[in-house]
Amino acid sequence: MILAWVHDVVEGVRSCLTGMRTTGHYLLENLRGSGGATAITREYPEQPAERVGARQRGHLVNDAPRCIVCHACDTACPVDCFTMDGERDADNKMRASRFDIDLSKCIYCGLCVRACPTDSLSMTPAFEVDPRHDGSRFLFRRSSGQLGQRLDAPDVERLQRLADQPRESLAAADRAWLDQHIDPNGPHLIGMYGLGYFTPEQKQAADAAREAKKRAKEAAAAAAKAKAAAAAAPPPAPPPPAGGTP
Amino acid sequence: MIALVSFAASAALAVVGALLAASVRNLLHAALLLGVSLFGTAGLYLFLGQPWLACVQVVVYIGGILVLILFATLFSSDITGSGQRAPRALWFAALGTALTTALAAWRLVRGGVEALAARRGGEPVVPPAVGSTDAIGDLLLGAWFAPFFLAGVLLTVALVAAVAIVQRHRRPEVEAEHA
Amino acid sequence: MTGLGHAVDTLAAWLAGGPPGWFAVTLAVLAVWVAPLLLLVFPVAAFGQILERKIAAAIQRRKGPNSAGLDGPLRLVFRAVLCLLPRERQDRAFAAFCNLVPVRTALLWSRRLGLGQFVADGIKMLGKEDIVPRGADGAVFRFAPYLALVGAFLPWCVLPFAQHLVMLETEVSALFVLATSGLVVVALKMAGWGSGNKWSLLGGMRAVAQLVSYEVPIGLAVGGVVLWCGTMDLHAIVGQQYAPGVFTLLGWNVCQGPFLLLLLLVFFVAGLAECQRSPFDMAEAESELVSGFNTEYSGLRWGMFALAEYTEMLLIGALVATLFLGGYQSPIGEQWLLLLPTWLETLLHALILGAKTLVVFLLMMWIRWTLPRFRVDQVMRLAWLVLVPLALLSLLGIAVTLLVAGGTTEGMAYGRLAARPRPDLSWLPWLLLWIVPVLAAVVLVRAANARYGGRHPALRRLTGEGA
Repeated sequence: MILAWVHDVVEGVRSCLTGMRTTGHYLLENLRGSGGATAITREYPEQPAERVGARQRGHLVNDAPRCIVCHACDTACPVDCFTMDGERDADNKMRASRFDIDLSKCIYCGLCVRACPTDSLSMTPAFEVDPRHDGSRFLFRRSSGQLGQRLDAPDVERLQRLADQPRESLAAADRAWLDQHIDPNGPHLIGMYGLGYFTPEQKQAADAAREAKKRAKEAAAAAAKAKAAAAAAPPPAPPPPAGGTP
Repeated sequence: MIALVSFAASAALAVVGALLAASVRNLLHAALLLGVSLFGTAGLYLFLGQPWLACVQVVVYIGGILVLILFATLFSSDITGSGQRAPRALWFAALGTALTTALAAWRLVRGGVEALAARRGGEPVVPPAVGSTDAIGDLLLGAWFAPFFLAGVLLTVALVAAVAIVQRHRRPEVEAEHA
Repeated sequence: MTGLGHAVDTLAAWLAGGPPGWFAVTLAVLAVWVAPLLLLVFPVAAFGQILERKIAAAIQRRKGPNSAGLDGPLRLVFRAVLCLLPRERQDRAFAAFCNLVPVRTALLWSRRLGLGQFVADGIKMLGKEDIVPRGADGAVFRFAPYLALVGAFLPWCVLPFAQHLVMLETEVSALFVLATSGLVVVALKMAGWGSGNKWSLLGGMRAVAQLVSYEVPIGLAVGGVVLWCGTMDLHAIVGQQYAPGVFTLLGWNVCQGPFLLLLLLVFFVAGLAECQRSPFDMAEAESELVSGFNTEYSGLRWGMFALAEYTEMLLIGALVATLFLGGYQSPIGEQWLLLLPTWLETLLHALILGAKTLVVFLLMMWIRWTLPRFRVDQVMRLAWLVLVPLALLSLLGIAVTLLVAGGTTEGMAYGRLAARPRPDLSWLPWLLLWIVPVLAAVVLVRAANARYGGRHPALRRLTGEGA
């Protein structure tokens, strides 16, 4: 019994020391600056952000030419952040004349991307949205009353053109038009680049990624088809190869 | 001056604490007020030149007994004492106790005054060494060794017994019973 | 009791310009006793909190507070000092001052270290609403934090900071520390009950059960040191640990045989439990009891509990230093330190005690951020089945050593402390004192390992082996 007690105490002390050795190691590492927080942590607002991961869900992007205004994303969205309108083009196909994503509502769940049948919706890894800085060129604010106003493709282009210039240098008519359609203090933050909602570079990157994905998918489908064909081909004609090979 | 103020504070704590402890209805408040009174008593011991006794008073009575009492009060079904009514007989008992205490106190104080008078006559009332820790240690391990030793044995037995009672639950048959 | 009582009387008489009234006495007591204590311990405890956050972060491989610097508080100071100037000139002066290179570097470092955090936390705490829940026992609830603070601060009165820096010299100071720190038990009980909340009550009960249990090993450990030194006076205990020569630390109690070393461990672990620190923070146990006894406290009252906790941690550190590590004495060359002018010697001694306290404090943090919380029954088990037997064993060992020692010597006079008779340990008892217990321990541990080696106690208990 005494031996058991001694063993208890010794083991207890030993396991405590083992734990403390581990944490002490971290502590020293951190103090020396050779590991731990000093090596891993990035102080984000001061230091530039890094890509968090390949599957990060950042800005929501609509590639307007592909969009068929099927409202699948609208149905899937749990927070109702889409407002869209469509019209028939020359080939009698539906295309988006308006596609607003209210970024102040979006929860970045990605359900719309899954629902999209044409892969026109996607999410880029970029996540910095700061209307005070660069982002103000790509985003605008609307008041609740303005949400119902339609912004068609030409309007969006006009908005984009106007937003690049300082407000003071605008013509009176343009300024009035701006005031009618956007409100700098409004609660709703809407993306603005074309009918997709991001910078040109991001748009290119997203397009490239989507293309690559699509090609990979097609290649995989083709490979699967070829394999299926190869697998399906032998059974109908087993005798000839069996007879021919020996 | 500082001595006078501190003495007055200690005495007030001891007396007022005791009076309130006896008169409030809430059991827990009574226990805490008892603690105040005990603290005042410890202060009084300091004025009698017995810092050791004062510290022991705090260790044993406040750190030990008071905590025990506080625990015990929590087992009461009526801590706030809202359902309590003092029966009339209790008032007589209180009166009797107060009278007896007053008599005893009077006798004690008179004894003290007489002793002081005797001391002025040149006879020291209290042996001067008793106040010091050394002297108390000598007394406890000398003249009063047997009672001290017995008390120590008693406490050790109680301690070991407490551990043994807890250990009982670790026996397989008891554990099976619990399961 | 001597000490600063005389200073109080003198100051009170001077303040009143004649026989002092109660007001002058109160002022004098505040000035001589309370103010230095608060001025000393408050900033240290507040700084302890920021230190703890940094250490915790480092152990968890984080950065910890790294933005709040001292520039904000400094600006407030500038504004207060230059309050007669217009705001614009104040700000310009502040900017000029901050642009001095050493100041700027210091301020940048203060930001990186998060030094301004405790000012911010303190202001935040002051601004919070003081809530008394509807079901609370008002007076008890309100008074508990004060009592906790009193229990945490009173023991500092008797602690020797330097030869001439002892607030209250009494021959029972070790007992005084035990007695006054026991008040915290009552305070926690009051907080637990007074909150009118089941979590608080459970936390309070746990706290009291734990504190009462761990007072036993602490008392035994202090008793062992008292037995060895033959005195209950903390200052005399420090004086006893003086050894002439270069390596003063050979005289420290911790070097006086394995039993005192064991007592040091017992005292430290029990002290950890006494200040309710993890792994003994069952009373707070945020994953089980919300926040335990201080669930319902907010603002400054909560702050008092936090301050009491840190003060108590520092107290345990200072006590470990005083009882076992030579108190305020320097580890080497103490005898030359005594030759310095009094003010310098006092300063150095206080700093040395502070350094020793800090080491124990850091160790406590290291433990806190390493070990998980004990279960309630494990805490009790540790107290009664491990610490108490170990303390009793050490006590017995010390008693036997003192019996074996042949006679007593005069002892060394240290500074203004007179020599006290010490047990005369010639080389043979010394040898026996060190070798026999260590050998016995080694034999026991080896036997235990041979019997149960490689199997964890928990596993062994499950299989019912060696119960």
